[in-house]
Order: sequence, then C-alpha cells, then structure tokens
Amino acid sequence: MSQPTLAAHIRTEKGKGAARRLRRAEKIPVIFYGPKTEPTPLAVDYPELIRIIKEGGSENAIFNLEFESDQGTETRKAMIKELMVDPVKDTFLHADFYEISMDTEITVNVVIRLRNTPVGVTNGGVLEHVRRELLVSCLPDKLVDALEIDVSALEIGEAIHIEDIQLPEGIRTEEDGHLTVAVVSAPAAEEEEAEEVEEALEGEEVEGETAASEEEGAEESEK
Amino acid sequence: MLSPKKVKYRKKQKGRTKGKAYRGNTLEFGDYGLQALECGHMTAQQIEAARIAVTRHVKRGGKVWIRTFPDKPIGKKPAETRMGKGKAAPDKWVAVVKPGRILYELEGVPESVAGEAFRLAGHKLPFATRFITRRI
Repeated sequence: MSQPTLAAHIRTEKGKGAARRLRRAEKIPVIFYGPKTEPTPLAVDYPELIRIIKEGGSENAIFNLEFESDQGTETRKAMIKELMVDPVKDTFLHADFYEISMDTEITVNVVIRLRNTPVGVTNGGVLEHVRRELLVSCLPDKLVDALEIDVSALEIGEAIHIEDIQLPEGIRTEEDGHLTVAVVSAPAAEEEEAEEVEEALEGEEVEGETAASEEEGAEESEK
Repeated sequence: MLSPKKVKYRKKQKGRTKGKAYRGNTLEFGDYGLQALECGHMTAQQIEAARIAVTRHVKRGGKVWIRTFPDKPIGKKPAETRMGKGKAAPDKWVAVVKPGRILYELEGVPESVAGEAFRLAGHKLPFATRFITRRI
C-alpha cells in the first residue's frame, strides 16, 4: 500500500456553525486521535481526502498526516477509522483519523471481492455474496486493499467459507471459519405462478377485511 | 401484504417527518438499491406493487430485499360520516420514509437489468427515488 501525505490544520472553532463554514470552503472537519494521542480537532481539504481514499484503493488507506502544532510541523501515520456520509448528497461530512504505529498490529475490516463467474451461475444459479467484509489483524505494512476470491469453480449449492480463503502472509482473522462468504443458490421457482397464487389469496383477505371494516363503520355510525 | 403481527396500541398519532435517514441508508445485502430522495409514507400496497415490479422484470434469478416495513396504522373514517366522534378506525399500514432511506436491494443480476427494474419500481412510489450501486 502506498502512503500519501495529507495536509491538515488545527481547528480552533467548534460546533455546527464552524463545521458548516468549513464545508462551504471545500474542507471537512476531522478528529485525530490514537491510543497515546489526545483527540485533536483538525480540518482537511475535501478533494485531498477523496484523493487519499482513491489512491489507497479503499477506506483503509494509511497516510502521513501533516499539521502545524505548538511543537512545529508534526507528521503522524494515520488511517481513516470512520467516515460520516450525507445519505442524500453522498458527500463526506466528518472523518475520524486514528493514529497507528507501524510495529503494532491493527484490526480492520477488509473488503472481500469475488472474481470470475461461477459455473453454477452459467447453469442458472444465483451468486449470493453473503459476507462482504472480513475482520483481519495484521501489521499496517501487511494490510491489503481487498481480498480477492476466485469463485469460478462454484457449482449450484456450493459455497465458500471463511476457512477457504487463502489469506496473504502476515494477515490473520479471528472470525469463525464456518461462516459463509459466498454461495451459488438454485434459481428461484417460477415467481409469476407463486405471485398469482399469493395475489389471489391476498385478494380474498382484503375483501374479508373491508367487509369487516364496513361492518365496524356501520356500527359506529349507528352509535 | 406486509403488516405487523400484533401491536401494543391500535392507533398512532399522525406525526411530522423532518431530517434525513441516518439509519438504513447504506446497502447492506445486495449490489444495487433503490433510495428515497424525499420523505413520505409508503403503504403496504405500494411496497408490494414495487416488489412485484422488480421481481417481474428480473424474472428468474436475482434476489430482492425489502428494507422497509409498514408499522404505522393510518385511520380512515367511513363514507358519509360527520366529523368528530373520535379517531377513525385503522385502514392501512404505512412505512415512514425519510430522504436517504434504502427501500429495496437487489443482487445477482446485471446493472442494466437492476436499473430498469428499479425505474419501474420507482413509478409505484409516491416520492422521488434513485438507483444506487456499491461505492467499493
């Protein structure tokens, strides 16, 4: 993983008014902390943060965070611990940066990517990606962007479990090996027929309900 | 159609919707999703109509998840009834939707098919929606 540099400056103003002013100026409020670091409010350029995420290949990017403090310019190794996203605009609102040490293990979620089309899918099955992330522990320099799994050999009814994943050297997981990552399930039965039967049944129910409610209404109006 | 099996109280107050959906706003199961862009009420009938539109378009294959549940009763007074005499009897169930809420998710079909399926589903709903895919 490459380690780009991200420039930041210490925030003196706090609160939503100050945060909104920052966002209008193409910046984003950030909090930086670590096991031995006091929480420090920072602000970083929004396009720079996007660049870090793109260069890192995932949100687990490790970068050098540079900011001015009382002791001059400081450079710390950090990674993104949490990103707050606006659900409608799909933009980042706030970020948590976590200080890491290159000789201490970190525990992070790594994306699982499935490669190739399974044999079962060409025979009409449906590939279900059940588990999309895996919690792994490793030294920061051993961290990978994503775990790639070849699913081309999967037949209908077959699955890949966590124990089947060949983890790169230096990476281990504490998750249960029997948990399913991906499965090729049999194609669903003819939906149309099932739906028509359902609709017919529901139609009867609705009629029954409306009849009951009409009776209730009539009773109420009598009162 | 979806409805609660049992409820503690038969009737609920009307309420007002404000803010965005800060929960249920990310894709959790599938590769594609239909996201609400406005707030509103989604009735059990609309949830079912949109689901049928999606499953009919993707035909066989694909898996659909419904990410909303209608848990709010809406009352309606009988026809030709004078106002007053208490709150109306429950008539339908709705899900309260805020902007950003993921309504449906889909997996196991190409993106073009999912996009068209959700376009059709969006026409069954009383608010604006958009088609989204996974970021990573």
